Amino acid sequence: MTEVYEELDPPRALVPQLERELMDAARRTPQPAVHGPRGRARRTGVWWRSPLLAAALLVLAFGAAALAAQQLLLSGAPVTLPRGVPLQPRSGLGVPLPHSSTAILTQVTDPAGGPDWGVRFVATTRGYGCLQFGRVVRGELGVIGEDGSFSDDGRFHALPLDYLEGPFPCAPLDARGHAFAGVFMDGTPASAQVVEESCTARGGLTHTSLPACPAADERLLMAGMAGPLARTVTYADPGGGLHTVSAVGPQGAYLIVERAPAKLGLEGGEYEPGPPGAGTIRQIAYANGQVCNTGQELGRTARACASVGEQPIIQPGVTAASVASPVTVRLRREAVRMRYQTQVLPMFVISFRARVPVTSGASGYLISVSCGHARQEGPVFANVRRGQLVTRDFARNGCRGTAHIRVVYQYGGHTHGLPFNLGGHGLTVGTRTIDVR
Amino acid sequence: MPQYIGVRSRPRTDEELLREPASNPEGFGAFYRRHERVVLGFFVRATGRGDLALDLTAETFARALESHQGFDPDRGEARSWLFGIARHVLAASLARGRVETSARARRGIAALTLDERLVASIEETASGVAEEAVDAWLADLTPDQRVAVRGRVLEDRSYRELARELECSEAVVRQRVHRGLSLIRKGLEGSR
Repeated sequence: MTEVYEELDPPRALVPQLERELMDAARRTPQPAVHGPRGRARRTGVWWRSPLLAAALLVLAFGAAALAAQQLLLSGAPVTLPRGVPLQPRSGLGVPLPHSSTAILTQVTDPAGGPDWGVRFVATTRGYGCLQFGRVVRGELGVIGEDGSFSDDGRFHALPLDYLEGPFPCAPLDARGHAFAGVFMDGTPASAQVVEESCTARGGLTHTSLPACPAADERLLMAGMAGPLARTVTYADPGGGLHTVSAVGPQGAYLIVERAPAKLGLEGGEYEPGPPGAGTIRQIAYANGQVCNTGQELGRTARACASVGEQPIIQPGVTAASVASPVTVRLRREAVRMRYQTQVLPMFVISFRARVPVTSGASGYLISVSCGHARQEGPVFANVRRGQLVTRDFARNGCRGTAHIRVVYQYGGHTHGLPFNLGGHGLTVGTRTIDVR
Repeated sequence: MPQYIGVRSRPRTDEELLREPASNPEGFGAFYRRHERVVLGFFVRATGRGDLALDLTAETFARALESHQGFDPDRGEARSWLFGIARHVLAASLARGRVETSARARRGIAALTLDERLVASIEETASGVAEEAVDAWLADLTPDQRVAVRGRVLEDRSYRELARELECSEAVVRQRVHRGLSLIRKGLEGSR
């Protein structure tokens, strides 16, 4: 006698043929199968990986070979800014301050050879400090035309100073001009083209029109600014081996480049910005004797290191009374472009008049909308004048019932390694509650 | 021909349905019926096509059959486990530019016969459960992470576009996506 379990479940399958096939397969399948090994990745056509030149390079001393790799690479057009990235001195990250950028702070070799990798610090008009990274040729930072980048032209393409969006660690500068931020990238292409990617890391769900990055050209990259007191950074390579590198310069900059592990994260090309110490970093040691043990294992974020040596910006005289201002909310329908179509969606239009100005990324206004269990929030990403009327739209996202809107002024906190992710003190500017039908 | 043994006082749990499929194939059939629409809905939502959704669903259940011993009810519901598999199938298919069929091939599951009526039926039925499917998949995430993962992974929107809409930086959106996907990954570690 055979049991049939149908209670409360659909009595019939939508696709009975598949149900039958699965039941037949179930009868035949007593044991789980073992998955086979991954396929081999394709090789790239970059010149230093050709067998002839690779053989020639082998007869040279390592330093001479690396230098040759840098000097022989022809230059192509500079990397252009991604489309639609606004460069405004008083909004977003701002623009680079004149003469604020440093020379290459530190250089590390690439696991497959070719030009070194390096990092460069840039300060901006909105008080952010950012760390750019890329390949280094003739003292410049940039991208190599490989892995689909720049049509695989094999040339070096310089990275402009104002190319700050994307994975580069950026954080508001503290009172002494130090930024604290890090990034962990799993599956970075060896080309260093990391903003508008030219290939998709294994397991990547997006950029589906792009080819998969060759596995041999995927890198595990960690870079960051651990602060003025940082001296060494200890990390685990994909095999579990521990290594220690120096944190250099006033920002305590570090850069680590390894071959990517055989198994990448779910999104492929994982990218986790945050405080210094993200990724597989195990320990940061500081000049004052402090040691931060992150307790991280590969691919899992545990505890990032606190901002040792950070000096928060003090804003005397800012009180709840000095920031308080009425908040108004209107409901409006607005055309929003979706993936396949433009939809007219109901929006909250939230306004308030700023009584305390915002002059840098170290402080700002944060707006939140709560409705039932749903909550959305977003900071105002721009400098704000005293007395300026600030207006922002939020999608209603199906909100029915009571919506609570709150505007907060935040300042003087740790940056948590992210631009626009304000911490520290929060003073309520105003709240508003409305019923949505 | 199967015989009914009476109406049970409670539905069989997913764990019971998945137990020993070789000797209890009807249990796996019931498991399929229980989750068929929501999985189809997920793939219809992700691909916009009923035919692809059906092939992806077939591969997902074939993998579930292969790895049924990996399902641990103490680590979460079967639907989360199944969605973990579905997401792997989708990711692998997108990466390779074709629908994954390896588990179907290993299990000897024949190609499905499709006609326009069936495809239309799948798309129509699945569209009604698409939101439920997505909600189930994203259930463990915070609202911020849910919006970011939904926009990035299901709607294939760029980080820049999402950052503009959510009024935060690309880095913040990326972090929300990363954290969200990490949470999902934790939920499906038992599915491998």
